[in-house]
Amino acid sequence: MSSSHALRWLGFASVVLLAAPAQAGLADFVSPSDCEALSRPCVCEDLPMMDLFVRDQQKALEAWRATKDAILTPGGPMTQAEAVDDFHSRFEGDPRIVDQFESCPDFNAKVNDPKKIAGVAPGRGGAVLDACFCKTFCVDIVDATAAHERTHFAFGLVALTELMGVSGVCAAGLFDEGFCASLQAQLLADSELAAHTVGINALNDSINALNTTDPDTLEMACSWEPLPPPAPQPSPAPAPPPASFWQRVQLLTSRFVHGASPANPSRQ
Amino acid sequence: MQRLFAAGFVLAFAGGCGGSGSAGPGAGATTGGDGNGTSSGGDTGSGTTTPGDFSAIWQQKSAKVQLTDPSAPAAPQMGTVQLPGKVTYEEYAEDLEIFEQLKDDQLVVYANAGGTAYYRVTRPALKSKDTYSLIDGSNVMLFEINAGVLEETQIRTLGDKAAFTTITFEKYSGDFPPADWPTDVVEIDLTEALK
Repeated sequence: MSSSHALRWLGFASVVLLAAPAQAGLADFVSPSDCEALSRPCVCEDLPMMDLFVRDQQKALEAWRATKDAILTPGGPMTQAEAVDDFHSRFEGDPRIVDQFESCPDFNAKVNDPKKIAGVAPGRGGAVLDACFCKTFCVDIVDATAAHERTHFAFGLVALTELMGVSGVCAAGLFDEGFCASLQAQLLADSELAAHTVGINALNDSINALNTTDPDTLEMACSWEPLPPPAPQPSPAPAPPPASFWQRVQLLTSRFVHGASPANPSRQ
Repeated sequence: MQRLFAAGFVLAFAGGCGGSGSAGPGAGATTGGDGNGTSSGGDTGSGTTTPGDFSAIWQQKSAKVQLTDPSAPAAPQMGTVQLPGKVTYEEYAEDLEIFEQLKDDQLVVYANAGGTAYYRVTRPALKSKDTYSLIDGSNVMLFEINAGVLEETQIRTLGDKAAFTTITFEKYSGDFPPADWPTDVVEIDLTEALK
């Protein structure tokens, strides 16, 4: 079969693209096996970050679940882009994870983006990861992230086999556009649910193993304190108080006597 | 919709919702408008028409789709597409060649993206005497062998609409994986992901 017979499957590609919104710049990312080599075994002192990471993923999973439910409700997201926006309105990642990523000795803000730590790469084993992510997080977090991305790919592949027919008919504009767009949005949400589930389960298994046995002291379990909460964000400057009744009377009186101020035309 | 669903299909349609055949790699003559949802032309794949059973290696050949809308139950939207042997990831500029197999209690999807390994993705399938079925939420997929040819019937619901799809497969004959595929394989089991 020659490539001239290829079907340009934008529908599937955009599922994968948005499911792992980090496809641009993946050329510099490394394969999961290379990432493992750059990483280090997880030990007791990694447990707080592992806990934090898995909790963050669980929050993201819940956010995607809510987004999926919203897709079919009136006024809910109708397209993949709207579904992504809906998800971001429900989820914000923990800044302590970003802090650890940015602690990478090679970190370069122009190259390493905390929002693009991994992605789907069909020609490279299914997943690729940012080398800085590999260097700053222990191997079980790395592996769980690779499993997440591979699941996106595998889910997309299965969705592709299921939906070639529907997508072909949608491509020709023969079906209701709203149906086709909603189908894509729902596929994206389903892919995210599947990928997060796999990543969370993998990391929970690692956490349980560490909690059962300290790899350095086999007869003991890990007992590390959780990470301190993130530093409070500086709150925005308070809005100026509304003009009091007396100030408004003064302004009106001034306008009556002197006319409107040219320096404040919006109040004319 | 072109952003989401580009086309390289040989296409025919019925149901009066308009549209025309699309250009693109693999696109052939459009025969639409005959009211029967039939089509002709297109990629015939590399397989043969020899009969097979579930455990053979199959490739999708054509799909007939009908969309029902409760607001217009008497005028379902219909279309038939011939499916090419390869699909392309637009973002990665990589062709994917995909085959399917039903074996033991699994649907196995094989895919080659032109990398150093091919993929073998599995998901559970319920096997009965003459069928395999997969249930995914409100979506149902049923596989049967008709006259030695694998057919899949799908019902997929989205909101108050439902798409009914019948996919006809073509049996792949020859050594598998094909000689031009890599020898390494990446195995991914979706059982856990789809729970």
